[in-house]
Amino acid sequence: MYEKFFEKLKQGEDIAGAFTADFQMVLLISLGVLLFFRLFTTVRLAIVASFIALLLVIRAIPLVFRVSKEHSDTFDSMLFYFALAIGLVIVLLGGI
Amino acid sequence: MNLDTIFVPALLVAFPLIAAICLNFLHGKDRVVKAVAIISVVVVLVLPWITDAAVYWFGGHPQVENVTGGTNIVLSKLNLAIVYKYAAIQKLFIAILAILASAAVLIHFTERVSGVYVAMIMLGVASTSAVIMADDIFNIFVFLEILTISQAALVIAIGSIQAYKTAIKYLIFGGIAGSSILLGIAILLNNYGLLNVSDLNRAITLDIEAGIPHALIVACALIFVGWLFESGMVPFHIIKSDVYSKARPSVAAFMQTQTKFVLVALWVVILRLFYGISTFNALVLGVGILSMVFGVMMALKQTEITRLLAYVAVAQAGLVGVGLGIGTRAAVTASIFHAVNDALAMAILFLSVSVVLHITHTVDMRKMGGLLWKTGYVPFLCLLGIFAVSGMPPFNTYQSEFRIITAASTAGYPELSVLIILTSIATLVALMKGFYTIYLKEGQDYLTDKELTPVSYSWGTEVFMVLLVAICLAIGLTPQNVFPYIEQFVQTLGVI
Repeated sequence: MYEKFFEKLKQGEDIAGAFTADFQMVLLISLGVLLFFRLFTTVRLAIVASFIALLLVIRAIPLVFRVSKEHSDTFDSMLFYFALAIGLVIVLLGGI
Repeated sequence: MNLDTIFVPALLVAFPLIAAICLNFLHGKDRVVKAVAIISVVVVLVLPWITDAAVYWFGGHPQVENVTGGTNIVLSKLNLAIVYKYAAIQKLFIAILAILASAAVLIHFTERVSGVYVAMIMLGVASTSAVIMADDIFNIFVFLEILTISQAALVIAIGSIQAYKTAIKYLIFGGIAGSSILLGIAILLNNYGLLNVSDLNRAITLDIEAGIPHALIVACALIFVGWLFESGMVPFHIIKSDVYSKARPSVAAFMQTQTKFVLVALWVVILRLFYGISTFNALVLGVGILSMVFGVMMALKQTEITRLLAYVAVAQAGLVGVGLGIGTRAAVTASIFHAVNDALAMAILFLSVSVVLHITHTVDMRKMGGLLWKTGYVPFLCLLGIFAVSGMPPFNTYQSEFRIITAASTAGYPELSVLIILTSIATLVALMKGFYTIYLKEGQDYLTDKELTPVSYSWGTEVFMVLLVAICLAIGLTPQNVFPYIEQFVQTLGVI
């Protein structure tokens, strides 16, 4: 993890901001998993699932550079996420 | 003469529309444009306060009783005309919108005079006011289209290639989202033969007793996608932040207010129509969480100050979405309160950046620094704005964020409370990073010639910033002057 961040630092990236953003991402995923499993399964399973999610996410750090790459201003990228969103909305509202 | 018959809610839309037409026509005659614009701004500021709360039927068409709609559903009452509802909450929204539109117009005059530019701001006021007040879904669609066009035009006015690209992308997505809403409306019209939201609410309530029709789900999905675009939620947070960052900061302050108010107004319409669909709230909650977290994450990564603020504005809109998605009465009330509070607080930051850009002529934070003693009270006001946006007491956003956090815990989502608190902290980190870079870092090239001379800047911006900080503090210290009106509004929705 240190080497990955150090590599980005050499490329002129803001590491302090990136590290805070990564921390936020780790919490989003682990708390999201906790909330989802707690609402739809049992509390014990939710704790186990969120712990596993936490481990997996920490292994994948740094995530923020990948996320910001996906946040590109290009038209095709935006259109792809728009198409994905409308599909998901119809599927989720349909209760599938 | 009865003033109630003159100052009707429709005038809140009609006057800015007429002003926009006149200003557009007068473009090029700078002195006349300036005079008309200032008169228009004064009228726009005064109108929300002198207009009494009322329900306005266009053309004076009354409600009729016991009418069969497009299907065999019999409604006890049916509205024949377009209806505008103007109560305390609409008054609050339109009054805040008018203040920020005035700021955008008057700050623009410190640089140059353009009739078309001011016309687009007036068009923005008219369209947002209509969306806030209208109880007719087709009328809302029409004004959403006008809103998108006016926002794109304000970006085009910057005149750079990047601004043109952003505006074109925004118009294309606006076109797709608009078509999506229109298709949703067409399905509703086909099924129920109605466009009035209150009438549709009654018809759908009767219809879903036997089960939710598939057509209703598709209509909901289509209108929901339109809502995502208009409110800048995931996946439209990228284009929305791009638009804010390419526009002049004084206009971006106005635009983010429009977005937050349209977010609430359109959500109210969707909720009243599709409250029967069980996954609706979960979906709003999901996109709210994603917008909030991605917004603040991307803000932390930015090197451009306008883009940083744009992403913070998106994150705060996400927080409003989270409150609406929780769906309890307390959460929804707190969330609408937060939309009002955050619109005011974010405007302080955008206005402070308009002063910074006036001096530095760059948005790149790496080229900024050393402005602390060069810009009067602006850094101090900016710092107060940062505290306000981050939800610190005694500012207004503290009152609303605290209520959202409490409501999330009470509704059985303590994880969300944790996430909201951490998002507030990350927001503070992102904004303080920007503050340090602009004001505290070592001076840059643009200051070396006149290192000790205070740089000139627009004092008008400072006046508006003081006004906004005062409003934020006033609401923060006495929330009881605003909060009960929002509570009352949520109660009258009848579907929460």
